Amino acid sequence: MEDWRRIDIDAYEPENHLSKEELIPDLPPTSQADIVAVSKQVRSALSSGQFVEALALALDSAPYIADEATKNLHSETIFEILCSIKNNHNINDLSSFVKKLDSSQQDTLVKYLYKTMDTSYGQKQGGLLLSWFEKTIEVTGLGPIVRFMSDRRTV
Amino acid sequence: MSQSLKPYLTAVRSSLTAAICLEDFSSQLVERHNRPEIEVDNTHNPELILNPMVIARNENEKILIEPSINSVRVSIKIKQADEIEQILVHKFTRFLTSRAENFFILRRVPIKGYDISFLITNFHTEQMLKDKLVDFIIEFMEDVDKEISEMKLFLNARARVIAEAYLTPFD
Repeated sequence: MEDWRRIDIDAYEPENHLSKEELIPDLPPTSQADIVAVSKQVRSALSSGQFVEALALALDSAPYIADEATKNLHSETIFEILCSIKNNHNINDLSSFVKKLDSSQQDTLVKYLYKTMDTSYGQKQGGLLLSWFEKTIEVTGLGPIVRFMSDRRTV
Repeated sequence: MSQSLKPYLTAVRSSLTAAICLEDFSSQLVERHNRPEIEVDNTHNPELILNPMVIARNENEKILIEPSINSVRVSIKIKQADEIEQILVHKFTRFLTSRAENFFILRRVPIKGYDISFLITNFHTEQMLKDKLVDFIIEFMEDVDKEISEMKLFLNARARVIAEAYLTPFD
């Protein structure tokens, strides 16, 4: 038996530690059809100029337990809302939008800002996301960042 | 230019301030060991690692912050617009990382895809002030861009002088 020193013996004792699956919170899963329906609702709200309603709706229906494709679809929807709010308003009005959200919606907004900054389409629009981030943190303080780090309900 | 730099740095500052909140934590795997949990490969304790954050200004300039219970790893991708800047950044970061013991929080090898990495553990936050650590990283990010563009200008000016001197006999 060669290389027995390199055997990961801790893997053979699953009782001693938590696994990644155990950390996933116990929530009902979201299907892709729901998210597609939400994105349609959001588009119709955006085209009729109801920006706050669109943002609140999208943030309330964030998929926590879903496959990657569904999560990415929803973050693209939110990115679209952020872009259209930015295009139709002055940059100083962004904080008034953040103030209209409740605190759990603000937390979800920060989660999505971090997530979109990690994608290639978000990095092309880095300035937009950073100004949203700045305005959000001005309103909320550091709380949403800490909750983003420790929350296992990833978006 | 500086208009988009300011929100970038404020985002990095607030994220770092939130992430550098560390405590002494002994390894749950090996008795009487204390190691930075973010650096442990094949960890069997996923609950100790928190969600990583990426803050991006554009495709070429971003920062990755990976927090854990007793350590934070901060990796910076420095702006590189052309080949000269790539060489300069490579030389500059190599100069720093080969003297890593003088910088305390500098990591000897950067994370893949990034140019320079810092590792802040709870022992650093015990010895140094957290605000000063954050300030140091922010200042580093500000200065490194300035330094690289300065070096590039200097290099171009020097190349021009050398080319002129070299071609004088053929004038």
